Amino acid sequence: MAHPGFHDDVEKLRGVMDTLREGLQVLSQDWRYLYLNAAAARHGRRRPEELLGRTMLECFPGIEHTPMFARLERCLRDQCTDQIENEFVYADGARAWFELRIQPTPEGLVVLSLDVSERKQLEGALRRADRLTALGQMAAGVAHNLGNILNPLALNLELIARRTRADGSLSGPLDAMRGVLRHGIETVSLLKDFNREATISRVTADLNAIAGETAELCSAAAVRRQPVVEIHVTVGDPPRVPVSPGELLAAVVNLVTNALDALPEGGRIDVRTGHGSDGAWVEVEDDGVGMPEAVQARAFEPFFTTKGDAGTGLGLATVYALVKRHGGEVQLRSGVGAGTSVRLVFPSSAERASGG
Amino acid sequence: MRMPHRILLVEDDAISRDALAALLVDDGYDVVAAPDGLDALAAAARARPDLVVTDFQMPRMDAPALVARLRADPTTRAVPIIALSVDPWTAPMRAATRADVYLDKPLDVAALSACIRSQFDRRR
Ligand SMILES: Nc1ncnc2c1ncn2[C@@H]1O[C@H](COP(=O)(O)OP(=O)(O)O)[C@@H](O)[C@H]1O
Ligand SMILES: [Mg+2]
Repeated sequence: MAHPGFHDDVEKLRGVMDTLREGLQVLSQDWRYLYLNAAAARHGRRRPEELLGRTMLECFPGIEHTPMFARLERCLRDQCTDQIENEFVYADGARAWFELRIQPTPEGLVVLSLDVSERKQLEGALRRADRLTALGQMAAGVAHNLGNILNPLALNLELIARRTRADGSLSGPLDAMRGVLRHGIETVSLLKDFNREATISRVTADLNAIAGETAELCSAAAVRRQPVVEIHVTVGDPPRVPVSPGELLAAVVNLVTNALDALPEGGRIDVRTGHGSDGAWVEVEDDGVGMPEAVQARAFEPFFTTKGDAGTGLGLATVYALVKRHGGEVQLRSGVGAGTSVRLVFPSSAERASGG
Repeated sequence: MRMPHRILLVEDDAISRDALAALLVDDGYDVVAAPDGLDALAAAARARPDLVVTDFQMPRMDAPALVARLRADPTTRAVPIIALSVDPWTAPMRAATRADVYLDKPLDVAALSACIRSQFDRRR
């Protein structure tokens, strides 16, 4: 049904279809593209003329093995409608999420597609944040219980050590126990850190000074590496941030330590500072091995490590906790073989500083 | 000879309490121990401690309530108080407790000994 004048004006209608955000495609019973609007072609990253008249299987080899294709087949066979969210992987490995609505027609199928990648990304980020919050609470609970277990051990060990001082044969085993206990206590204190409440601190840190100190502290470890790892510092003009300098230094050193671990063949680490609309930042970038997506998704979880016994899995978790405690953001960019950059962004302290 | 300083030790975990009491005795202090804040109050009235070491979380009466009572009583008002906690000392926890010194558990015994000595030195 159309208003007179619009009626039968196919070109006009086509124009309207091509302005839609939703992709619209009509497929024949043998999977040939009969019609595509501009958005549908865009969603496939093809020009319409590349697709029209050809079959889906010719245009996207392998598509017949996807769960999405099975759903299309079912709609055609059973003449039913369906609605799915589908992740599409392009030939170059890029990915996008689409919501698809499928409906049978006399010709074959009509498929409406909407790009929901942004929403999916946001949902993913929220899920990760929720999981980290939950893990933080669990970490605090574990730290509490473990602390209560280690305390009487530590006290009694000290008592035994003092009262057996005369017996030289015991000093070795007692020192060994002390060492193990100290390790346990350090782990507990890292866990505590992970869930510490926001503290409104009056101390501020100079990101440029932190970047310089980090490079100084880590350069010894970097040049000891074979092949050598170079650390470069590039500073901008960021405002001071309301974070304890000691904690921030530890965080950035942590990032450089990870970067060193990611450069078994040597390479380059960049420590940079700067500021933008969302605040002052410090970042550590390496051109090392990078992280696959599955590792990126879990890298900030406490105890997540790919380093076996050599890792604690608490480095990025504590960095994340520190930044979150100060209302900041951690931005991770990484790709397998393409290196990694971790940027810590802190909301500028300018307002608080001028308020006294 | 000078009388040894008397320390009131308040800790609900018996194993920790016994060990810490023994360590403080070895350090030359006279130690009175209590398993919670309520017993500690009675012990304080009886034994007149020169210093209190108390855990934060305890059944029946915790550190904030104990400290408030000790500070309200003229006979114990000036007694230095060292508070211990297995959870991190947050600003609200400190504000509620109002101790003189806050230490973490698991306890570093050397740090506690130093802390006790400095409290006594300061008030001599
Ligand atoms: N710069 C990096 N390059 C590659 N992978 C990294 C980098 N930083 C962290 N990762 C990955 O994240 C995991 C967690 O890091 P972290 O929390 O610091 O723990 P750990 O270093 O003890 O493993 C690492 O095991 C590693 O797989
Ligand atoms: Mg690490």
